[in-house]
Amino acid sequence: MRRLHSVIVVAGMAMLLAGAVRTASAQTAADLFDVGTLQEIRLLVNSKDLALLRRNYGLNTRYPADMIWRNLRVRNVSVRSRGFGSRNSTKLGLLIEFDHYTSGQRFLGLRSLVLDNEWQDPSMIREQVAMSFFNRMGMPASRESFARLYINNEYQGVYGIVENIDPDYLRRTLSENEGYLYEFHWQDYWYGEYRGDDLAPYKLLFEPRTHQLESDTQLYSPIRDLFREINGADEGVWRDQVERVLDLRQFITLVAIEVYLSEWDGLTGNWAMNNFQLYRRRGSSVQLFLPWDRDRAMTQLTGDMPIFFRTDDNVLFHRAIAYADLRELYLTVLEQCAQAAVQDDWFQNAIAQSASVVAAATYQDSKKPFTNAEFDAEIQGLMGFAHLRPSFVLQQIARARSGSQ
Amino acid sequence: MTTSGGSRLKASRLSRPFCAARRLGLAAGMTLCSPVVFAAAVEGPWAGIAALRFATQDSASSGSATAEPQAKDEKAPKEEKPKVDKPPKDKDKDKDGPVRFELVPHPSVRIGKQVQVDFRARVVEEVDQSDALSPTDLQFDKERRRVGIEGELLKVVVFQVSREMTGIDPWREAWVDYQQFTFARAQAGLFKLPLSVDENTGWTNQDFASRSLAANILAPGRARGWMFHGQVLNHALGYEYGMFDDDGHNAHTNNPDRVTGASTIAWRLTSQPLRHIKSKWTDLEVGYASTTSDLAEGFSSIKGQTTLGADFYTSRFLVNGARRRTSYELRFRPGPFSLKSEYIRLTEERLGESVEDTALSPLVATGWYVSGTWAFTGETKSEGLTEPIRPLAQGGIGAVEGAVRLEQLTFGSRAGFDAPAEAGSTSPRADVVLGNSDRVLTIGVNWYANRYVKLQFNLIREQLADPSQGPVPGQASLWNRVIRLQLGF
Repeated sequence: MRRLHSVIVVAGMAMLLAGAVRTASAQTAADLFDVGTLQEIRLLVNSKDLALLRRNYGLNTRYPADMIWRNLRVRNVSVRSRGFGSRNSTKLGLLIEFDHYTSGQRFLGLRSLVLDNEWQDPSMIREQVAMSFFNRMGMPASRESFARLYINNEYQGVYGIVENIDPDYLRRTLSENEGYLYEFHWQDYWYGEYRGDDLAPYKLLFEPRTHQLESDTQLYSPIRDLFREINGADEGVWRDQVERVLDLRQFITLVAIEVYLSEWDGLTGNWAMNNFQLYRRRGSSVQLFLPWDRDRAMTQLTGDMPIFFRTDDNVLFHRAIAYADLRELYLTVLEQCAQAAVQDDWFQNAIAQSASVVAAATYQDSKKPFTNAEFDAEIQGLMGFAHLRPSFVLQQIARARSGSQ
Repeated sequence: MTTSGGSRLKASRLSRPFCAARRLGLAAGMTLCSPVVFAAAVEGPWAGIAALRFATQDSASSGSATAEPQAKDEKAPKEEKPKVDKPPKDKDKDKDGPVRFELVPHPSVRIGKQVQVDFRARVVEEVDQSDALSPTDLQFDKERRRVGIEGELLKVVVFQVSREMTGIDPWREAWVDYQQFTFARAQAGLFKLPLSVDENTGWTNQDFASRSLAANILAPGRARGWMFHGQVLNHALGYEYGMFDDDGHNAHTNNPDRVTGASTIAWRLTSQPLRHIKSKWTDLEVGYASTTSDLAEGFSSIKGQTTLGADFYTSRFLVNGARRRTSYELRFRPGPFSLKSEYIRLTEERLGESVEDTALSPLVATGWYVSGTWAFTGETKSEGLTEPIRPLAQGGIGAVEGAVRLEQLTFGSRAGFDAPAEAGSTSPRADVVLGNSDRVLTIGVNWYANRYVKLQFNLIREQLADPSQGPVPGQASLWNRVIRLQLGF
């Protein structure tokens, strides 16, 4: 009897253990990016490092940390401050790299994560909704969800969990990752003009995220060639030349989605070109623009931003849209955006769902630079945008096709 | 008999303060007990003079060559008494008056019997070839020149000052030692901490072109400080205890981000347990040593380097607390053979350095070696080979010796050693750090043409556990070849 009891106890413990293991192994990146769940992420950072991180938030200095999500603890990750306009010491924007200190280490198959402080977005959800919409439209974009972030057990507020654009992201979205990836860094108002044969200006604008050890010539000559061709004088060969170095249709599609989203800080944004990454497949000269950092989407809440607003400023878009097929592609994608937004009330539902996920945690977020009332108002504004934007865009498309625009 | 016995006696008495290893019976060519001195004392016309001479140039401590004189000395304790310490009369000496100059075996000034100052110099040329060097820098030459003086005052104070002629930290030895009593002596100045017989063996008596990795990297080397030392229990036990400003030259760094040990306590015990037994085992000696240093917060200054100085482990890890070293040593030299071995362990605390502000497991570095030599030409190892039985140009070819050493140097953290399957990390706050190790086999031939000329050939094979951290990423095995010529008096 006693032996039977022992067997039962041991068996029970084994089942519990097996269950725990199964639970642990069941965690996936899809769970992490489940937008219907408010995640909880805890970072453990030595108090001296944390003080330095806050004091030197303008620097990209990495500090060691452990990250805990559910029952998983990832040791020896690196954490650093990130962002441009969103950088601050109160509510740190953070980049978590799992393999910086431990070669080959992954978390749910990811080598890095961005913890977006949503510093510039009173609604907290623009970035996530915008990226979801890119994905809905078939455009490669980061997966995103929300989390309560704790650092050393102190609540830091609501953060966006953003899938970083890195080789793992490339493999997931483009099925290969051996090419050249660059992050664009805004320096000044640049609309894609040619900046000369010297590679230095391009080096300043484009930071390599892969192949960092290769020579400047290998890294930056293709980028220089891209903008030389974009600014080529001969209209007769312009398109052929550009299509040798750029996926022009992908570019037009990307701009169309951005414009539908009334993006103020994208490829045709208010501050010239910004918030994109550039990718060139290995062995190819053709480059792709990838969307990044969309917390200024849906800025014009009235939904009436014209579909050709500021698009003439961008050299590439301006010249490309002169081709009838590309213009039609642009309008078609805009039309598809409007349809996709209203289909099953997708856009409004997406906003409502994200808002409900973050609302309670946002109210408790004392580090955000907005009031709770502003948060509520912003969510209402986004709902209005979702309602107004499709019809306005469709009207604009109709006018454009009729030749009145 | 009186002459030689008296010379040996005096040599022994004077030499002990100089060198830790000598005191421990491990000792060294740099002292009065050096084989050169000993030979001169017994055989030459400068027997009395030689008995007053000190050490080789580069170390206040020891060398393997002096143990035999010491052993003889220790077998006749009564010879240790100063009163019986009468050097042989030398007719030439009487003629020279109170101030005399000598040239052989090296320049020396003596004032009566109370003052002696010897002048020493050494030039080393070394040619290295290594896989670790870039193709354009496959071979490079190293040259070192050192000068110094050493001497005795009033027969109770000995001193040594030496420095390199180049380099940013040229001073090597600068110390005085009050040694009136065998059981309690006091030394102060710049000298080597009493840890590692290999580190404390002078270059003249080194069996290989480079010291063991354990001695070069884990032993502290020299520092400013003071030390009590002596021999007790009828020479059955030697002791050293001292305090130093830092934990030695070997751990120094010019990198302000890196920290080295501050105030350091060092001690060592040695014993020749069979010294009273008349057999080949008489020379057997064992020792244990330890140092403890304060360690400020920062990145450790200890790093792993290959035999020729290429990095294979750079500590990226924060330390804070204490740095401790322990070492076990053994030496045995029957006839033309010798066997020497050491194990050194260095730990560095990491108090409050985890991501949760708690202590991490200490960083651990261990080094060991086993080496053996054989004098093909028949010299007795314990008497040293710097005085060949048949020197070159005197009817012989000098002394020729073969040498083999196997060694390993390993870096990691205690948590990593406890969980070897866990992946190491380069995080400065990792509990399981990314370590590395280097296992080295050295085969060498040493040629002592005469007391002034020594030539060494070494063939070295190194095997890195993690070649990605080594000088040639991806290449685990490295071959080095070294030729080293030493001229000195």
